[in-house]
Amino acid sequence: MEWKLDKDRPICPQLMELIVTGIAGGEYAAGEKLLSVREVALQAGVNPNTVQKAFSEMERDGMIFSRAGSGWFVAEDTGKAVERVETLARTRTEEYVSGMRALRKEDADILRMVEEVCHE
Amino acid sequence: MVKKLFKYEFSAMLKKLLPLFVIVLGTAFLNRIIQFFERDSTTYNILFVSSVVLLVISCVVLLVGTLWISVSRYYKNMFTNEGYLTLSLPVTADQHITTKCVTALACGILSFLVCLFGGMIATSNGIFSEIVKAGWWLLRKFTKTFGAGRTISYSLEVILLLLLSAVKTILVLYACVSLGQLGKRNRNRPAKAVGFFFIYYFAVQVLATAGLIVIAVLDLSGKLEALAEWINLHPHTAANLFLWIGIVWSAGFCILYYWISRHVLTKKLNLE
Amino acid sequence: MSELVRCEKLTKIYDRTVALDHIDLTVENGKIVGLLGPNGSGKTTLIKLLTGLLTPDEGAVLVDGNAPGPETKKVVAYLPDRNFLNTYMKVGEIVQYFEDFYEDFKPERAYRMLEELGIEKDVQLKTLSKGNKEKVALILTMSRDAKLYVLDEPIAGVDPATRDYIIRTIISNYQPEASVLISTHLISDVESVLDEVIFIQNGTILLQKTVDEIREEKGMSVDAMFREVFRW
Repeated sequence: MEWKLDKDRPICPQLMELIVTGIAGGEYAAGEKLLSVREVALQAGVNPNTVQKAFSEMERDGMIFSRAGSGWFVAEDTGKAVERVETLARTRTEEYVSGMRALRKEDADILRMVEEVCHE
Repeated sequence: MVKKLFKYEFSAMLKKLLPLFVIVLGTAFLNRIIQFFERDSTTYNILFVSSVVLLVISCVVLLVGTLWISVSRYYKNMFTNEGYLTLSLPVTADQHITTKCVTALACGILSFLVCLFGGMIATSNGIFSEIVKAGWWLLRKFTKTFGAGRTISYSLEVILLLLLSAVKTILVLYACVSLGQLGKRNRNRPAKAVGFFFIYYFAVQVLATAGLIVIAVLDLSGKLEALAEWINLHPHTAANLFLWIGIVWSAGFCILYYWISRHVLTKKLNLE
Repeated sequence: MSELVRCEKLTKIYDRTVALDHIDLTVENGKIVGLLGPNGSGKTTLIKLLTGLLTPDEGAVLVDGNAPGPETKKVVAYLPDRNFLNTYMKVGEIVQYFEDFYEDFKPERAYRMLEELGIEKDVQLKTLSKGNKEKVALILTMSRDAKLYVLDEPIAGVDPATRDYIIRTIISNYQPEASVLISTHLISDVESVLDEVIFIQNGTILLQKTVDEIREEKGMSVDAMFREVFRW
């Protein structure tokens, strides 16, 4: 897992995004054991407290769960993760479109550019 | 914790002293071996005298070296970069100073014993037993004249005085080193320590001279005669009194010098 | 959450320079805190006051409720910014030294880390490269189960790979109840690891915020904010 993190934004949400994307995309299967908080902290080079916070929040949102002594696992129902990724994708698209409109691009131009880039 | 401090202090000092012990004992043996070839020739005389001189020099080097090693260890351990390690240990300044001083004293006594042993080896051709016999004779004479009780008490007082003088020497040097690290210029700490020692030495001379002048000026000659008579009448009280004055005087200065080092370590520390 | 470090009106004056000017500061346990500021800002003075190598001229500093002394030195693991180990010692000897004086020292941990670096017990410290000497010092410090780790410029003066190693070592030895205080001016390397930062300049605290507060409120990294705050 490539932990590419942006230092301009809080790291905790970024960690969650990366893990949730992994779950939704199938890299982590339902019920699979995740890396420990410490391992993630080491790999990503971040504060273990931040990783703990991220894991706790994802647990609260029902995307992962912990078993005492055994570690963290992907929830059986990966639907929540998929949902979350959809929401994120939607938000990104809205931001993108609004950014393009700020450059005075027409909607038709925007769609055309997106298609071109997709076909590259 | 103090036990551990002693462990490291002793092992560090002994590591440095061991070569010197070997040298002293080596020259003692050399001297003894040369004596086997005793004959009436200039070559022998030259060899013999040289080996004696060598032995004496190595004893002096050992004794002075012991003092030097313990003071430079104090400096290195507390006031150089090593100080960051030493002074972060969960140990009080008192414990640091005391263990170092006690180790220095013990090593001093050990070095003295090694020199004595070296002397024994060099004189083991019969001279040593003569010296021992003479010593016993003196001791018996002393005990017969003054009684066993007085002999023991005098011996103990003298030993106490010697030990305190040794401790005083160690502590005054520690104090000079400690004072040398005051101030903002950190480069000349050893030089400053030496400087403080000269100030101390100079001060002692000045005070002694001043004392003599005072005695002369106040024309205490009349008092001095009365004092001499009193000493003659009560020799033992006088001797004991003077010994104890010496002991208290030394002890007082030991406390002063100890306090100086401790004050610098606890309040004025500024490692660079 | 409890207070591990508390400074009240802490002041230190060298001759005529005020190194620390009536500082008020608290650090809670369980945090990795960055002490950030330019050279001469008072970082090292503050650290030496915390570790008991300096005494305050005014004010007070308390570590775990105690003034600095043998009680606090038992629970504070200090890594100074200079070579403080006796280089004539061998690696095994200095590990034994730490084990002898620090109850919370775990020699197995130290040996494991030394093995990972390929540093042998019988090697004399002075034969090690500068980078390895610093790593050994860090390993010794982090092998203690202290309540407060104080690291003074742990990553200055070493190559980037060593810097990564040092940061990874800090992370992997971190205990959740302990706090770590890292003083540095190389911010971008450490900021992902920090919970909070304290900006200090000319002996006064400019700000103390959580890292997230800075990123959310200002939309910039701590490194960027530092450059802004300390701009000439």
